[in-house]
Amino acid sequence: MKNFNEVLKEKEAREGTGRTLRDGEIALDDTQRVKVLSPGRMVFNRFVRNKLAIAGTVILATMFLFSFLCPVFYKYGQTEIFYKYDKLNVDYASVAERTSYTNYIVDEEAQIHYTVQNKITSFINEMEANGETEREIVDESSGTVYNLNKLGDKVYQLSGVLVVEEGKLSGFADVAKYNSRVDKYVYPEGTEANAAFEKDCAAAISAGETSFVSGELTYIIEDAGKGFYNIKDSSSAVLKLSDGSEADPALQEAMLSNLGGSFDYNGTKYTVVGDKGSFTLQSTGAAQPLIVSSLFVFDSYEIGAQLSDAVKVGALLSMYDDGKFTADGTDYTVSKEDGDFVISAGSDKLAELGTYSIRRYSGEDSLSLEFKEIAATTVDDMIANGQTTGSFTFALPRIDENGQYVLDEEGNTTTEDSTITVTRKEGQYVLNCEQVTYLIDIYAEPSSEHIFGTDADGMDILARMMYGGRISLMVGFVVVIIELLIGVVLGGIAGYFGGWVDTLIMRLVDIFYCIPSMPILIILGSMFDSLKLDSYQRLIWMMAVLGFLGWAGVARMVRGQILSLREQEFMTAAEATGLSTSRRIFRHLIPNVMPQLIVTATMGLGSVIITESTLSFLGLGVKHPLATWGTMINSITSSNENMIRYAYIWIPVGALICLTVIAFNFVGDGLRDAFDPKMK
Amino acid sequence: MTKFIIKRLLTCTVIFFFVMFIVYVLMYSLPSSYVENMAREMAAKPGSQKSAAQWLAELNAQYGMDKGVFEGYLTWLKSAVKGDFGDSWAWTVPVTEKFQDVVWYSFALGAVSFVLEIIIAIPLGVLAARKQYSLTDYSITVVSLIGISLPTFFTAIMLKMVFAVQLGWFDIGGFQSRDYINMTPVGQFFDVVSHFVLPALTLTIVSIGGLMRYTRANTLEVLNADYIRTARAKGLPESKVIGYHAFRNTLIPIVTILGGSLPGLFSGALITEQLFSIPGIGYTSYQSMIRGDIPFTMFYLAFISILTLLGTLISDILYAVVDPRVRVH
Repeated sequence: MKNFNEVLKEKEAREGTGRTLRDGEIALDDTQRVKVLSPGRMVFNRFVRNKLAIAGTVILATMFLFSFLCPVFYKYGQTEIFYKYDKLNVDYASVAERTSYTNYIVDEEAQIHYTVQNKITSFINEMEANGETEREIVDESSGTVYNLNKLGDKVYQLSGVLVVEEGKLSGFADVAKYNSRVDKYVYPEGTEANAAFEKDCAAAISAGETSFVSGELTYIIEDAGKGFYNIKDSSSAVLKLSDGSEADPALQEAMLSNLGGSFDYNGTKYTVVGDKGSFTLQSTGAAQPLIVSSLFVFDSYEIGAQLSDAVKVGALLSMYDDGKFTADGTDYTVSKEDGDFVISAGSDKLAELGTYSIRRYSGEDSLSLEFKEIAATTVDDMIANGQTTGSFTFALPRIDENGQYVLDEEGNTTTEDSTITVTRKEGQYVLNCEQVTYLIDIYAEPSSEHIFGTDADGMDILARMMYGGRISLMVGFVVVIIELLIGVVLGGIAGYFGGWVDTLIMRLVDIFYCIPSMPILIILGSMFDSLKLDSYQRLIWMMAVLGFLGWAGVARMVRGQILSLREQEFMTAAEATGLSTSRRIFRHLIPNVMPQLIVTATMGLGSVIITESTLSFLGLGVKHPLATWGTMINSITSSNENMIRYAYIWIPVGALICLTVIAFNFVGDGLRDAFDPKMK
Repeated sequence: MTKFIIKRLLTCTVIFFFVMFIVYVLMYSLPSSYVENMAREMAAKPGSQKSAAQWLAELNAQYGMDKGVFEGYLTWLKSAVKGDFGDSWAWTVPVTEKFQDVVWYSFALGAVSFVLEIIIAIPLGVLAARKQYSLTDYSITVVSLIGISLPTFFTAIMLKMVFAVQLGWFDIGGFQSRDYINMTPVGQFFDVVSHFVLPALTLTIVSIGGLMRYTRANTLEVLNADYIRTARAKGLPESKVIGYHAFRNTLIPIVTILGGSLPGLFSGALITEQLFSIPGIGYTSYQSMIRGDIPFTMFYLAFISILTLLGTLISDILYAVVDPRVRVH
């Protein structure tokens, strides 16, 4: 059987179109006039005639292309972070003039009383003030005499006689105990009283001496308190030298006769100190340097290298002398080059002596000597001209995002000329520079690289707009599909079967209609926050909950439709022809509900997108690093300052949301009008 | 009629019972670590007079969280029916006291935007229907569709940007100025009014589209009715046809849905109040919800559910009352 359109086509082929009658009218049965369209075609035609619907369709198509196709070709990803080299004004280094003298101890073994060490600086200051070049310092506790003299500019030397411990005398034997109150001697068992000893002893005690000689032996008196004295003799005393050997008896003899005093032996002057049965023999040699005090700062040629104290001492002591010294077995020379003293070992230059302590602002000594020299010269000029600020240019190394130096292909640091400003600040000089640093490129201005710039995390806004669109559209579709599945099944069952099933399902619909979904989503969102759920899991949960809470409207609509369709004649006919229930439902009922369903779904897509972006905007929906439009707006408008400054970011993003939702509503509205022209 | 209302009320009670049960199950199945965390945070707050254990014990006593789901739900329901909703965790005052403090801000905001919505939407809807397919009709349709499509938060920040930041006419948030205390009573009144302008505008903009479309569709339907043709045939002036015959009939469905949205005036605007920091019920419950304040949240959800049910009930009753053709059954 031919359908009417085919019949018309045959007629058209036979007779041609546009046969005009008398008045130029077209015949009633002309194919131009009579055109039978399928219902689908009719809907389509009506839809196409609706300008708003077409506009909506175009917007939607663009949005889909933008979100799903563009990211494929766009060069950036949604979580790609961009970096840039930027100049950052940093406190680079500080210059401080050394004003306090640093002491270097020449010989570790030399015992110098701490009061003397501590006072050296003040002595030097006094000497500087008075123009003295030499001063004698007496250590009041030991009576040692030191000599402080100026070796040259900024270098002072403390010299003195070094006291060396030669040996220890010990091993005195008990002789008797003497009770001065009753003037009685108590001898150990087996010894007898000795009148000569008692006489000498009494004389020594009454004279307040601590040792006396009686007969062959030297005795020592120890005050045991309360008038008791222990007397010991030197019969078994032994002088042990510091190197462990026994001393020459003559030396011991000389020492014993000079306990508590000093004596000369073999041309050396010895001093005996100590009491209570143990005496120390000290010798004093010639005067020698003990401490070198200087204002000089040692700046190594090699960055960060440290000179040993021995080298520093040697250099300071010899710099105003012949300039040669030996330390740790190596020969060094100090010479004056271009007004600066330079320490070198052979032909290797090791360090320079400067007057400024120039360090990185963190305190590290990691600056190159060239830098230190230029900085020192600048500061000198500033002082000479009475300025408080100055500047110089220096090639500083670039630094990448991890704070490491940026190396070129050959492994050398790459540098860039930077202007360094010097400012005097509380006695020291602070060096600021615009250092080129590798930074995350946040809030970049729109440029050809990033059309909408970058966001607070240095990610490309346009890329995130695209991926955000993906999320929004995907959430919309998934949620609407869940809603439709539950809604159509439950609504269909309720409408078709009626009775108690209908009542039950409709009460369920009432319940779900009544559940406040936004508060529940907010509660869930804050719970996910506190559980620190993964952002993909959150997304899935959110879609599931949105779908599960939103099906009631669909079910109600489907049930209403089916209730009214069920009573119509075509359903009675379907039933009368004996069609099976499933065929009646799927072939006859569902297609008739389809138009309404499509309209509801389209409009629903818009409102789901609004809900999703609102939740994301509140920070309770889809989370960073996944991009969504709501989050993008929130991240900028949460501070009023950013809201004003970066309006070019959030307004387009908001416009995308609005456009998408408006487009869905236009299309939905157009579809409704096309399906059911009576409603228009 | 009385029978109908009683029947509907009973149905509503049953629905409410189940709705709250679902909400309760949700609260009940919040991970206990989450609840404990919240209790601990609550106790650590300065000025907290209870320890975390006390908060939890109180919650258990009031909400039966330590019992089975059904038993616990009945415990909660029992005290809720008596009007006892416990102490709010976030605000540390009884829930109902906090509610009475804040609900009137929300009501004022809701009422203002409700009136604005009616004043703007209904005449425009009728106008669009009268001049169907004209430019006016298209513009109104487009505007109403845009109104439906605008997300509240975007509208709010756009308004803030334009009127608070660029033009500086209003404050960016809050419900009173900084020097509110020093103002005269009249000044204070106008100060609060000026702070309500932007939120009310936001609410009006996002709600206007729906009512406009609804009015238009209903007016169109009425205009196609036979009695309008009769009225025109009688030779009545068009103003009388529209204003008397058509409009009164258009009002039937409109009054129904407007009556149904009356309880909603108390429910507050969650997003708008939050964005403009208007301390109404929406703002308060948003803060409660994100801080895990279970007592206030449960109360708010119950309150919203009751309002929704009440809205449906009122619109059903009004439908029957306004339109005598509808038979109550």
